[in-house]
Amino acid sequence: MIPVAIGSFALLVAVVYLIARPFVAPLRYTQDTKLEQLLADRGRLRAQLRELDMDFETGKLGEPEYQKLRARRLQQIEATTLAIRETVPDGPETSPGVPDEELERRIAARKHVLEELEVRACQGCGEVIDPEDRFCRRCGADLETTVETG
Amino acid sequence: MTLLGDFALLLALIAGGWTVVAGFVGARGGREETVRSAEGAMKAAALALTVAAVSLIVLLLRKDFSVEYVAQYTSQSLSVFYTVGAFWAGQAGSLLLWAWVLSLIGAAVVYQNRARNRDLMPWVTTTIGVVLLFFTILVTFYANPFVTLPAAPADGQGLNPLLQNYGQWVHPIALYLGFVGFTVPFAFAIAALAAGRLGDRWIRSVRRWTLWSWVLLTAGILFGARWAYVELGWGGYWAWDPVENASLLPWLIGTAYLHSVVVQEKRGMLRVWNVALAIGAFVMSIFGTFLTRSGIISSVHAFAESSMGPLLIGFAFLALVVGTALIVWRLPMLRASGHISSIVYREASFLLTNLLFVAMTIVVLWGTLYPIVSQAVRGVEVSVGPSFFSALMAPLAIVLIALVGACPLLAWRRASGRHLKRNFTVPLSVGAVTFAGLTLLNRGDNALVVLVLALGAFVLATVTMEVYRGLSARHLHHGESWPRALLNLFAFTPRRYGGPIVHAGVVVLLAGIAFNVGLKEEVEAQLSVGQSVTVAGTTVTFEDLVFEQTPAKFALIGTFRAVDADGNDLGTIRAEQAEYEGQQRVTEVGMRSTVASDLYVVMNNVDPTERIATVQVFHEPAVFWIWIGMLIVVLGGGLAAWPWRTDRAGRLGPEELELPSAFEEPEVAR
Repeated sequence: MIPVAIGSFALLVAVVYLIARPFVAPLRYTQDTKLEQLLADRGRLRAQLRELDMDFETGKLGEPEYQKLRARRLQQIEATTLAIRETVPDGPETSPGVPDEELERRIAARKHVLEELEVRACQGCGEVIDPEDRFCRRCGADLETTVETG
Repeated sequence: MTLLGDFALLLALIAGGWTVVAGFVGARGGREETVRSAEGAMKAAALALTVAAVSLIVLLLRKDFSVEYVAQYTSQSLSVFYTVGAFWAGQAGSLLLWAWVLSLIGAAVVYQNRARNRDLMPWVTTTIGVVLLFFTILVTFYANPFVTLPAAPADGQGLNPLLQNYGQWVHPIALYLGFVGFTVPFAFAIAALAAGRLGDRWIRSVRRWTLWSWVLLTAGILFGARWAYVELGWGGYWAWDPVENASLLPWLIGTAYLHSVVVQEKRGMLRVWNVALAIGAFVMSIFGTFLTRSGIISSVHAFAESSMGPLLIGFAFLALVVGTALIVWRLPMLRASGHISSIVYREASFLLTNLLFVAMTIVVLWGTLYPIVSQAVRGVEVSVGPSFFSALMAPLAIVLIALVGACPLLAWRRASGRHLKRNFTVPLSVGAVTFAGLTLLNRGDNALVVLVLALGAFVLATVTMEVYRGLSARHLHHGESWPRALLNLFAFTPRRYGGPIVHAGVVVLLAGIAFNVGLKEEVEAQLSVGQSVTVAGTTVTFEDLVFEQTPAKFALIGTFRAVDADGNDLGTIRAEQAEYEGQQRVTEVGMRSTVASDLYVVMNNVDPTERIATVQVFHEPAVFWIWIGMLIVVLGGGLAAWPWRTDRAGRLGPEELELPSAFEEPEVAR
């Protein structure tokens, strides 16, 4: 009987703690939110790029569509990578890799090419959109009011 | 221990209630702390239900017959394996398992999204909380496994002998995980609708949950069919039993959903379909639970009957109404980005797939419910037999196989005549040659089997071509060796190449079923020891009948010798009729399985003094391929759902701060 009573009490304390903690203790995840989101975004963009390449290489997508979508994805990956670096300015030591300036130069160059390809993007999330699109397929924003070129 | 179990249930109830209240308040503009508290309550409910579940396991292992549930489903002679398996053998235990699994999944979703989808999480938490609260109420007030008896009996009633099979550890668990798993896409769909975030983020967030739920549901159905085949002794694996149909309904809708979301991700279309299918799969899983437990329809699963049918159907109806109302409310936001302008686009073939799965769902639903409707409206009980389902499902399945072959060959957005010719020539030729060859070989007989095999060849050619093209692309464009290309094909694009494996499995499965249905033979005769029957050229002789007594059962064991048409001895088969202590009489099927066919012997009405028995012998062609097909489907689904390292967002390490080398091309587009 005593072990059951102790067990019940311990369970009660744990349940109350889990429910009440957010009201009394600071939230631990707020700082991580942006970085986690960026990493998740880049993972998704990388997966989309791979899918895109396979679509093209296996004949599922025409050349003009592929060029537009790929250029936009690469720009988004570069922009996200830059944002990740900004979020973690004192991140772990890394190999030289591509410097920030080079990354920014590439993003700018790509923007120019995207303009030439007449790629339109959602202003809210950067998703590539078709001329006939009314809403962004990624974030659902109304595109009649929020569209940018490149 | 019952006190601890009851107390844990009470705490789970309170925590579940708080999840709903705080989640809803947080979603309606409350503070972040309120939402976090709701999420904490979800974890607390998971902890409390874990304690309740462990309490029940301890009571079962202790064989504490003062607890009604333990006395009802275990006995002193029951092995530890089945004693723990008795956890989900009855109503109360299986509902506790449902609530427990749901709470663990809810806690996992909360943890997974602690820093993601923060705009959706209040609604997600509230929705999962409502479902959890509902099941916790059922366990606490309607089917409590901790109810005690006034006086403990000396021994329990024991576990139903039909449940004493390894399947008891696989079939219900996999099914529950599948059923419960569909709560996650449902909760995210409701959250996306409620929060007005109707892009494809909610779909991506639940992709893996949905895939795993589907894989587990498929595995549950597979093991259920196998279990019925080896245990029930009627020579079949699927009888369109209402409870079998109950598992098929969410599976059909879930399968449609998995296909449909691809179109939203790629083209921003079929948004209404996707939210409706996510809600539909959940509603069907609750409806399936209602069919199994209401006792409204007689079934082999009658052991789980109870009076909670109205509650379950009411809850399914509530989910349907809320989901539909939200969809109608958000309809302006759900309008498609693109439009389908030709049937030869890939988008159109996906839409057709959706329609086909929904048609199958309607057939199964109507066939299952018709006896109830007829009873209610006309006062006449009509039974809907397998012939109704076969007549309607067979043509739909044939169209489905054709689509499975054609769909991957179509291009997104635009399909030129040249592209169609390039993609379709080889698979169509393979299908046509197979059809012509088999028709000639069969001289026009077995048309259905020939058609299914020809379509199967078409699909397998498509799958082979798809995988080959993927491999070539990686080999040529990325300079990978063939084995490395094969590995990376799955690692980098798991869903794209898990899909074709699933399709190949479906073909093997349906070809096995077509073979089996078309060429199955059955003989029933009353035989004395020494007499024989012949089925499909094989002679089966009743050689001997012996008794066997163990503490758990009394068994009559028949030995049968099989000899094929050429006189080759195929060995002996042992069939059994057993009587378990305090339980019904059951038959143990005797079986000789080969890759080509099974010889399946069932012994009934045994007279030990006269040494006579009613013997049924079935020749079951291609059953082996049905199981293989199902395993390939599960394997393909598992490959698609597997968290490949390369597919993850990645932890923060040095490499995450650099551009991945594969994307460092200086040119904008190749």
